[in-house]
Amino acid sequence: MECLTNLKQICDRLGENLNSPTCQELKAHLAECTKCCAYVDSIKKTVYLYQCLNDEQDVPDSVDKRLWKVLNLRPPDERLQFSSKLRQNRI
Amino acid sequence: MPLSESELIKQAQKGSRTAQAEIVYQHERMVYNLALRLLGNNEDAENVLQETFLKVLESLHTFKGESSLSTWIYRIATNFALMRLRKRKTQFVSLDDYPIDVSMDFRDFNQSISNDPLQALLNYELRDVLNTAIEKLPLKFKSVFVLKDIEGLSLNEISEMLNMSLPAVKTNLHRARLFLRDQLAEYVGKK
Repeated sequence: MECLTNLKQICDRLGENLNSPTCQELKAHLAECTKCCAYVDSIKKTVYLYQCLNDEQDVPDSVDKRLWKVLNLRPPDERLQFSSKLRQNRI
Repeated sequence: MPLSESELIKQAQKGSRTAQAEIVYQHERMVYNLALRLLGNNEDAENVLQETFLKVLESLHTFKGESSLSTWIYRIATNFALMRLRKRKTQFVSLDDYPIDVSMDFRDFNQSISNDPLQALLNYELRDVLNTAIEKLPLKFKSVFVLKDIEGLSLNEISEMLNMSLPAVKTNLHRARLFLRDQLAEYVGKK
């Protein structure tokens, strides 16, 4: 397979399970083509850097205080919470 | 004993201020971080945080439980953040015809980027390069990249949330990744 064809397939198959049968040919090419492999790795490294750069942050105290004031609500007392103290970070 | 989510929502819908506060408390961090990632600054993130929860409390009676509460809140927050991004007068790069360049060899690039990204990120110049590059991305590319690669949403969820076709989401994601990678490669090449 041509490298360009492979890279277009990588684009088309973004988000698909790379273990799916349709990706076998692509995986075989990546295993033997160092250039395409480096291309994919370079993207993976870039994405990983951005993920590390965007670690979860706590809401700053001043921002938190203003939010409760705007909403005219009192933050729940830690002892009387309805549910877990763990706040959800993901949907 | 902790209430279930459905019971918490019912109470909040009936007007319980304690239940409403609990909902805000549970989702505040998620909304703030999403807004910060999409908008890139604390002031805008705070505005989105406030707008989101004002809307959540105002519209809670319309919540039918067709998705989880956090998904519903997440969508509201995403919409507010995207509205702010659209209003910005930033000069964006054009990525609609961004080339898939197979002529470049990225083996050197891969060696230059440390295998330990946390170590690499101790370099503040590199952090600036990453932040500047993502700010250059036009809305449709940035939103897809942040929602997929940082927030971890599925392509289908993003397609639905942004009202964008699935092939468009995939293409935009790939172009965003390539652009960011190339900006990084340029910096690494200059070092």
